[in-house]
Amino acid sequence: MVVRSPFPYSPTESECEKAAYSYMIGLFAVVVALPLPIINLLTACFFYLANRRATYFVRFHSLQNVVAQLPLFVANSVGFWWTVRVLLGWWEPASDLYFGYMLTIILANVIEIIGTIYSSIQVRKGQHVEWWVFGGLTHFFCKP
Amino acid sequence: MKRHLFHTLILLVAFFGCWALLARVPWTKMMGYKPQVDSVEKEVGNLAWRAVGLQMEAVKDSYYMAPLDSIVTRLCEANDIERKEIKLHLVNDKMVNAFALPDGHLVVTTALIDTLRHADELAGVLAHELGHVYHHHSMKSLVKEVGLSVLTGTVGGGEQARRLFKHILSTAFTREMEGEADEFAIDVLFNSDINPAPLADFLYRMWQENQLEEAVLEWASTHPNSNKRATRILEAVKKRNEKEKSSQATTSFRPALHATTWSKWKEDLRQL
Repeated sequence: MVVRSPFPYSPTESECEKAAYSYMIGLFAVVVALPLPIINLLTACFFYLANRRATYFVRFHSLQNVVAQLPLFVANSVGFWWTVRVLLGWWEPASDLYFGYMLTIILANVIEIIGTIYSSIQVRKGQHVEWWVFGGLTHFFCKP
Repeated sequence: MKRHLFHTLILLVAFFGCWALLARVPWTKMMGYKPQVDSVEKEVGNLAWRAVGLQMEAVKDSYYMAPLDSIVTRLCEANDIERKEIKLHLVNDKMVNAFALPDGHLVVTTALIDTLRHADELAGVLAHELGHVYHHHSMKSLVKEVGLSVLTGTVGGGEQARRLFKHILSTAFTREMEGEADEFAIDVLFNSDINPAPLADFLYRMWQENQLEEAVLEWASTHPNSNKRATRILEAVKKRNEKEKSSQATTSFRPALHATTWSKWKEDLRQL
């Protein structure tokens, strides 16, 4: 899911710190604003916008965080509003389909959190990491 | 680019595949999950029944309730419906009607029973109203028409509550809800070994009388398109019979009530 790969240049200490923050800030947002799915995405977007003129290393990792958050935001939003409908009770009771979906997005979120922590640690050490699927999409949007 | 699209596709397949696999696990059964009736629906249901009770005389004598109760119990037991969640009421009124209120209240008038020719027709009407109860149509209609905030505001009672429940009695369900209740009734009747054809006969008879008479029977006025519904029910019976013929299984229908019980009960209700 998350692989180490070579980077065009060796990032400086401050770059590594900033890039690591892009992952950590998302985790803090999740802790503070759970279960609102949009907070995590907004935090990642704001961080990227604040650093869009920064070095390639910082831009890449902050954008990679945004790209990884997007599908999760969609999945979590569906889960959030489905839960609201179930709690209201009149339109549909909880079903096996609902519980299956909630477990799937919990699994996706857990994988994302583990990936974020790992990425943050590696990036802080100066090691470039790319996420499966999202790393490639980030390369598409972020050029050196 | 192609590689990225392919990887994205794999990720999507993995997500939906995981969901599909986890959805096959019987979580609700394992957890013993039962949907709880919302407290607002409970309160609205109680208030609605109280409002009805002010306008109509409830028949509480178990002697008169017993045949009605036996039909509803048979329908519930054959279809895994919790009998205690259905609050059955018989009211002594000239209005030919049966209607469902929120929170499982089911009201039948003595005039309706007098109009029906066969106990199976009554079973069909009850099965139809059970469909409205099962799908929470009363509550859904109310929320759609008056809004949730109004409903929660009327739980305390007062003039607004009285106006609201006048609305309940006059509200007709949507065509989709009526269709849903009809489908439910057909399944429930078949599972209870009660012939659904008499329900179709009753609907068709009501449609004919509605066409001919100026005095509109209340049940017919809140249940439009009775002739189309009658046709649909008869088609469902025909389909089921054909299915049974091909599988060589046979459903032997049993009457909802014994003929003697039915005629004696109708006679006794007329004396009320």
